[in-house]
Amino acid sequence: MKKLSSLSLLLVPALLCATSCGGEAGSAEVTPKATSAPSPSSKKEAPGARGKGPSVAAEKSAEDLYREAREALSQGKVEAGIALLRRALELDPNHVDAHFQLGTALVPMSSAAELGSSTRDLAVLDEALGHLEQALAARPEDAELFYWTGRTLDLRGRDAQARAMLEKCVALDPEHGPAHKRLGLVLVEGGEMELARAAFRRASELEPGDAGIRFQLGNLLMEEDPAAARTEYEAAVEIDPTFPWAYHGLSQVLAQLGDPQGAEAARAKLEIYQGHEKRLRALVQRAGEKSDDPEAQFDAAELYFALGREEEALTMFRRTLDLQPDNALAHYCCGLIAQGRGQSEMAMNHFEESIYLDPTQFGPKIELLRVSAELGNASRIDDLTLDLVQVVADAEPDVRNACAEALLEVGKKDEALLVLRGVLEAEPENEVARILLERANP
Amino acid sequence: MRPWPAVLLLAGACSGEGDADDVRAEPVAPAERRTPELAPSHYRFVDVTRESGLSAFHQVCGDAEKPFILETVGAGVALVDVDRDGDLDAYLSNGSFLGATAETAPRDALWLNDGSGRFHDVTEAAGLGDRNWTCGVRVADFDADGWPDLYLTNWGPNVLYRNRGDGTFEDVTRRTGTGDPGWSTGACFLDFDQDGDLDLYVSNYLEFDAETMQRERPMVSYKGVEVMKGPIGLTESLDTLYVNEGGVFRDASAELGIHAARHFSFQCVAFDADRDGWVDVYVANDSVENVLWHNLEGKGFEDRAFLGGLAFSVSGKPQAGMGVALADFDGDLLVDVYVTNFADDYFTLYRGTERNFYVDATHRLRLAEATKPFLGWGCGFDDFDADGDLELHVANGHVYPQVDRFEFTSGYRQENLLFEFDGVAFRRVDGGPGFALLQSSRGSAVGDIDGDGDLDLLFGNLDDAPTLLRNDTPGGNRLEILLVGAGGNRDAVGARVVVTVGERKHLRLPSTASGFLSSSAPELFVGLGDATKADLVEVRWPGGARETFADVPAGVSMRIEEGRGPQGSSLVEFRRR
Repeated sequence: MKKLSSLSLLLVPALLCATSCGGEAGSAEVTPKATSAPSPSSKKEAPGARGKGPSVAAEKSAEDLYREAREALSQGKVEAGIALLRRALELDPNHVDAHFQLGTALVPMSSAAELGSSTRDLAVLDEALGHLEQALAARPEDAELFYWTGRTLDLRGRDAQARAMLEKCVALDPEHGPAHKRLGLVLVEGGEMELARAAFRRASELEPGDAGIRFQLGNLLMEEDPAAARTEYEAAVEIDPTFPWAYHGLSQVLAQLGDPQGAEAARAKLEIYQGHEKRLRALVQRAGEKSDDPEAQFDAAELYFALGREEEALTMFRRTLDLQPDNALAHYCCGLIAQGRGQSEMAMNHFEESIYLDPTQFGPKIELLRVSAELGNASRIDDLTLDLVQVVADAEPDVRNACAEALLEVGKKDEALLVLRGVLEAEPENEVARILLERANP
Repeated sequence: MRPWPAVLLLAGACSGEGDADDVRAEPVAPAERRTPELAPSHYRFVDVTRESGLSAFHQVCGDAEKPFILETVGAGVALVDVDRDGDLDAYLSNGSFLGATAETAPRDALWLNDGSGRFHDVTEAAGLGDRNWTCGVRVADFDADGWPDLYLTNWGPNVLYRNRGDGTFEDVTRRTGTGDPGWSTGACFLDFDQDGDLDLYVSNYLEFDAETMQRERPMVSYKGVEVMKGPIGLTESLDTLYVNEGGVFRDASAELGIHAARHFSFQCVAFDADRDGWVDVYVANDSVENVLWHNLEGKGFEDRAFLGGLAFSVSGKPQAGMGVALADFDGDLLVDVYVTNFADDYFTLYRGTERNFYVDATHRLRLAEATKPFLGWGCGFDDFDADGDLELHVANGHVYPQVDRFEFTSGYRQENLLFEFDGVAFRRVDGGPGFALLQSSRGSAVGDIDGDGDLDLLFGNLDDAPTLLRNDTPGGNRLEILLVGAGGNRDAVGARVVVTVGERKHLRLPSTASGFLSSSAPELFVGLGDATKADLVEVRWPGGARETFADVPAGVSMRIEEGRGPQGSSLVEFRRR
């Protein structure tokens, strides 16, 4: 998964750094996403052995539809993917992978129906559970299936069953970090604080970049050991400097530890990031009230994105694109999210579309350069390099530096140096350009 | 199309999403509607509303569909011996409906207990019957004449009724200056400046302009269903602090710092949160952070809820505070604070610590999950079986009648809850048939209605009769204590009582406010279990004076008058009361 380089961070305005870049913390994609590659393959392996259903006379087999569904999901076409999976299961009710894929695709959809809502759609969750349980019946030793079933049961509020599933998952796969974390959450709800702590500790070992786990550990330690809780909260905000609730925890332990000034400082951070949450709620409400207004959808999507909440951001960007298919910026943002998730093909499609719609923008071209490198598309890299070197010549130094950094990453050193020299001619003291130059010529 | 913002121009692929399951943003499934199987218990509460006569009272709170938030708050109740004949009477607040006139508006009611547990409506004869839109009722002897007075919190001017002591009341609102004109919900009397008389804190909820609301009829989406708007999106109110200046109350809110912020305020309670000898005020606020007004030695207040741990849940999120209960449930002689909240969230128990910090211990005490299906209001810690451990009761009811048309949430009418503490954690217990009733409850008050020595429960229900539950739970020995303060604070607000029984110590706090918009009987009830006496009763009065009483026998109601020592106390056996 791609992370912002330190140089990129230097380039990005403060707001973005402060709100959206969770760095290592947020980068841990611990669970398959509905919009990502098929979940069965996300942790261990691609689904292989699966039940073969009866042959059908239809033009497309269940397997064909399943593959199309995967393709659709990988392109972010969630509803289309779900429809294809349903059709696949009509043809082959025993298609285990389709059940699994549909279950995992439906879970995020349970909250997408009403973005910003604090509750999930039970009917959608129940449908997801039905598919996951069918898959589980066919594959009773699949840890990932136990994880997803446990996770869904937890979201459904069935704690005891969720706990059993998650315990089975970690028994089958002791290194399943997300399952340890989810188990910890379930145990907290049940008041099993010692067991929860052990689960979070293990999860933290396995998922060291997950700020939420450290936050949970802080909460668990708050009462009996504020000093230890402080360590956890500090780790959480180091991992994710935008995590408002971790600042709350930090302020609370500092207050207990007799450091009111530190507590107030943490509180100030809390209020900054809480402020984003409040604004977000307002924007989401507006987007709901103006459901045919692409601007309203985009505003909410943009803030979701800036806060690092990609799932919701993606949903809102897609709503924007449904209403305004020629919105190049929305395509760009979708591409960025896909890129961040390692969905290079999906990212490429969005960046290409964005460039087609608005060829004057540098961002999509720069990111497409990177994605093309990931996909091994040398000819596209060449085309983009040629284009970028020409078009950035008159751009702001920051843009040129970003372009040069990308060129360096994809191995276009000469072109990168050309761009950097241009920057330094205009701004001899440009620190970023100098650093990049040193990187190019160590 | 808008210009591309710089923030996105060079963003690259930011990776701050974190786990989609992360605690900070994850939507949750609504709690299961199904009531869990409750293990049989020895608690038994029986609905005696009809036999008591109270079923003849009907609370009114606007339209059944609740198109306005005003129509969802109310039904505060009080148990108080207004005529000092030795039994508890009931004051039942009543709401109204938009468009009501002086003739058509329903009235509050005072029902006198004849001593047998039967009540009779004496409202007219008592000179009561406020026809404002009343939400809550507070009982306090504000003029220290020995007779309990009534303060009504209304949408519109509040009303203070002085008890003349002859079975009648007089409206002294204008004379005392206590007619707060806003939409008041909670209120509590306290002596914040330690000048010996009772001052008054009033919580105000929001600015409700009926004309505008009726014209615009704003609605919002709740889980996809159109429901009334509020409180989010409406304007918060300012609370009021009245200083008692010789019987006239002066609004000193601004100068004392109370107007530093607006909130959607509900229940307020007075207690010394940081044990500095000065009584503070804690306010449960709907949808925003709760407030702890730290008393700056009588010279002003500043909010210290955040640094005291009482503003948010442990996750740092504001909840929808409704009711508040204070008690020392774990016997460490530190006050703990319980706050009821909205459905799909948990009601929060903050445990007091030696560091004067309050820790959200709800999950650890296994209280979180059981409350999530419910929308809570009234609450209280009481020893219903007199075994020495406190039980927790909660009054529930949704604000949206529309929820009954869908399966995705708890119902509009809900069960009330009873929890038992086993020394480590709480567990929900079967409270008998009285706790199986479905109502949209709001207020609750506790007291010994029938004089049998145990604690009964009165729930105020929206758009319905109240529910009176007689406690038939078998229990241990018990002791009742009534504090009578010297000077103007006869209710002894701010006092602490510690009762030692063998190895255990029980902390009790007199208060003029409890649960949600209601007042419980003023007697402090202590379960002694098998013990036949309390070894020691220690009282620390609001001014700091201490008195102790040794070897107080079980089965009595003990009246302690400040400064008079054992000679000034009296013991009355329950059965003779």
